[in-house]
Amino acid sequence: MTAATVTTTPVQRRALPVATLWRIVVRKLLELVGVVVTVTLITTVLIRLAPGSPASNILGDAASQESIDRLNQQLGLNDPLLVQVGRNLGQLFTGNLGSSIVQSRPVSSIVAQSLPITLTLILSAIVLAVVVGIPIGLAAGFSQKRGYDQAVGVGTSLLIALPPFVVGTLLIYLLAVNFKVFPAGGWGTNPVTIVEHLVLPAVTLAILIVSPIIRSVFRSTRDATGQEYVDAARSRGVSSLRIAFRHVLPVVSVPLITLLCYSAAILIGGAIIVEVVFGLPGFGQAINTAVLSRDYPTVAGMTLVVAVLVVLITTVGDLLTLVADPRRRLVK
Amino acid sequence: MSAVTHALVRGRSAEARPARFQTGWELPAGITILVVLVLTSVFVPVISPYDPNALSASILQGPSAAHLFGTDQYGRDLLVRVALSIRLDYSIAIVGVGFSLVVGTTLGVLAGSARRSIWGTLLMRATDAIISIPFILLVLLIVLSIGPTWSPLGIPQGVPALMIAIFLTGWPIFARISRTQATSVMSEDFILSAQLMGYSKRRIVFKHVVPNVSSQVLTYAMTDCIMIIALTGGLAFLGAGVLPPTPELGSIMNEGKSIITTAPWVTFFPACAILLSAIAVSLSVNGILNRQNQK
Amino acid sequence: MTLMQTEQNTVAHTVTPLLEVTDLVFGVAGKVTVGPISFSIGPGEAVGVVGESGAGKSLLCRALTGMISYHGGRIESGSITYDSRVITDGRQSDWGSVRRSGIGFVPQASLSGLNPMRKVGAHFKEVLTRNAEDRAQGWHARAVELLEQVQLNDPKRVLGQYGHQLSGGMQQRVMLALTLATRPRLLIADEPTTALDATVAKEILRVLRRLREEEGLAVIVVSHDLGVIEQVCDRVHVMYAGRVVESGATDAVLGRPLHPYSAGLLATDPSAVPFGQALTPIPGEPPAAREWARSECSFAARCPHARPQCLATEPPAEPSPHGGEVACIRWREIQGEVGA
Repeated sequence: MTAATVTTTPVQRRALPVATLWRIVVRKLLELVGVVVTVTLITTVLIRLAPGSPASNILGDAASQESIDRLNQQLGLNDPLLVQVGRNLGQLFTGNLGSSIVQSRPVSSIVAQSLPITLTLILSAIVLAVVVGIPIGLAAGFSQKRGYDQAVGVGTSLLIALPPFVVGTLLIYLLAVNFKVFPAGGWGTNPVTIVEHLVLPAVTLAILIVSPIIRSVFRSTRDATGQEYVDAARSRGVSSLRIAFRHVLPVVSVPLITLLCYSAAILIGGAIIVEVVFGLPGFGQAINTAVLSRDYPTVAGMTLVVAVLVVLITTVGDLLTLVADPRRRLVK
Repeated sequence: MSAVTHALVRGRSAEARPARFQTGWELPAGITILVVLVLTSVFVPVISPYDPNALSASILQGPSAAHLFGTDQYGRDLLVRVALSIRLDYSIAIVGVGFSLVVGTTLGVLAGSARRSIWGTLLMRATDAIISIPFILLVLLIVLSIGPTWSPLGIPQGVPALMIAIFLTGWPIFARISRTQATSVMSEDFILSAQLMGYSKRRIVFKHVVPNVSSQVLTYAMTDCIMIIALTGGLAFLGAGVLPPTPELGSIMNEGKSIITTAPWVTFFPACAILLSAIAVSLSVNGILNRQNQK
Repeated sequence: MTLMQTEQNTVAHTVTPLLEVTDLVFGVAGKVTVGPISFSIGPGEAVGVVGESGAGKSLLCRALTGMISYHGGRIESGSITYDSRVITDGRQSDWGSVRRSGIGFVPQASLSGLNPMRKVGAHFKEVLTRNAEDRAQGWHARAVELLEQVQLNDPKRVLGQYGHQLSGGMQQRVMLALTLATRPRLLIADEPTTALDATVAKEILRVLRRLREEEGLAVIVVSHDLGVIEQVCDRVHVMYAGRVVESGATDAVLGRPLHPYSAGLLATDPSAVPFGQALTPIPGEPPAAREWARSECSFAARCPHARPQCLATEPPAEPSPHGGEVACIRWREIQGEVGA
């Protein structure tokens, strides 16, 4: 919610020269570097501020001061802050995310193992939310009855108010425990069981973004139906269904793409909760475990992965809008 | 001729009444739910005179006359615990969002109305990084680094860390919203004329910029409260945030999760409290936005 | 209907009229009510509707194409008969078939009637793949032919372009060609030349005239511009505050207006007033749709000839010597005053 409300910029309606495209790409890459540095700085500072050194947390209260010091030295935690940040960044450029002090394996392997599950979850949620949200938004937007604005307004404010952990728990109780339609948690081993295990988490996560989707589609449909081209198409006898899907949907899809890409941070945040609620062995679950077990290198590495993902996805979103909207498409 | 004009004016004014102002039911409904929840949390000692943390032998009893919401696995009265949780969660949301709002809006308005845009640019770049980390993860990290057990002034464990985290993650958003709004207000013609008339900068900021910024910032603050209530519960559910035994809606739900088959009420009542709170605030925001659109 | 008008209609249409509108009242509930309006048009005829912006002209276009419900409005009473078939009583599907081929509508030139996300060609393809005849010719060839018919240069290139890449005049020609693609028998053009520069406007009007003469297309032109109506239409209806205040043969109405509003409109028209003579604006503003009076003459407030009796009742439409009607209780007296 946060990111979408704040960062969605109004779409400028004008064609861009090719040079501008490259300028956008370069600017976004610089932004990415800025985000990487800032995030590394934030995580390093936060870890340094944490009460009790990581080593004492790992070794437990009974450990001697000497062994704690030795481990801290080993982890490089006694160096000055800037040296630590510099070293972390240097490691990054060699593709090294550090290694876990709890699981004693590289962070990159944790990421590689858990990220596909989370991406599957997020993509399924997006597909669900889009498949449900677009027809509702279109139908309500096309209807001239005044009641529909109200219904959409109230309906979406109710949906947006449902926290995923509450929805998830209630779904587990109703559909998994009471009616045993779906498994209550965990992950499948073959495609069929994976889908079974995916349904409830995906629905829970979809509820998080379906409201903004409905609102966006509804608003742009209302705008579009007031435009002359919809009237003109109707006057040529083009059917309502065709107008909705061939004329209005492409127009509606541009702000929708922006919205979805700028929801990346919200979806990943939601996935953390949903994965814990449903016990999915995904990225969110892994990062939560790392935080709770004070596995600092893992926390830092995974946070960085999330931030980079979010920036990349918003960049892709910006570029997609350029391709999707002919008014902004490049002039050669 | 004058009679004609007179009659016309009269006829016109009778017909030209402004369109009926629709009040809408959302705002009153939202406020009513909130008032009921707050009153319950304030007057709970009268309704259910139990100690929220006192263990008793009557464990996992369903809702009854003695325990309206039933009891949990330690025999604690759930009504008292849910009511106190509402108090705690609302306070966290109000204090956390309130501080973010004051600090963020002040900085945002200053950056937005400053002639040089260096502060604004710096602010935007800093918020870019903060926004690219999911909100809940950032709060989780901050809570971790402050230490969840820190409890100055006898505030329950986890609460101070949570409030600081909410403030640290919240103010940049307020700053960003108010900066954008302030920048657009500052480019309006009436600001230029005010400057030409020689009004002081302070006067311009307080007379023109602040009122224009406040309505957007306040509606965002209300939406933010929903997120904070969800976040507080969600964190407790993750095992961070407010720590047991302090009653908190998310942590009560977390405790109820393992016994959901035998004692669903332990999960059900706090879930209802969270849903009702969020729905009430959300409805109110919707009502307020409708009113603004009608003007 | 009055005796005189019936007579005039029978003279004009020895065959049945293509479109006949009888006492049509329509509007958007609580916001605007237009009418009653009556007129008829036969093949190859051209009728103009003139009035200031906000007089209900655009809503009239929507009503005549059955699209008023999409704008939150509805037809209250009266009927529209197209090709001897009453279509106001029918369902939306009747309107659908009339719009698919029958009545064509060209939207206002100042607004884009082309979908910003679709190429011009896609708009044509959609219409030209519907019937066998067009499919046999191939939609692309047919589209090129239509665009040539409206005098557009380089039609092949235009088919691959988007609306925003075309000039106003080109867009208007494309819209016209798109409407012709439905093979209409009646064309309704809403402000066909607004926002176009004078030379382009003249060409568009020439195309309209030619279509009418060569293809026998019936044309309804809706405009605020008397010059446009004069160049294309045989008959004209002057609208004010949702009502027709005067109708008749274009030459007669514009030559010797009977209603004070028609006269006022003419006095503000640059093309009608001799060069060097000052234009006389009508005092005041047209009333907002909400305030359209129905118990008095709605023009009385701005009328130089208004008398207290003008506020007593809404003036009935009387037959006029121009072969139409005039809705002013004092038109004979005013003619006397002006003549004397």
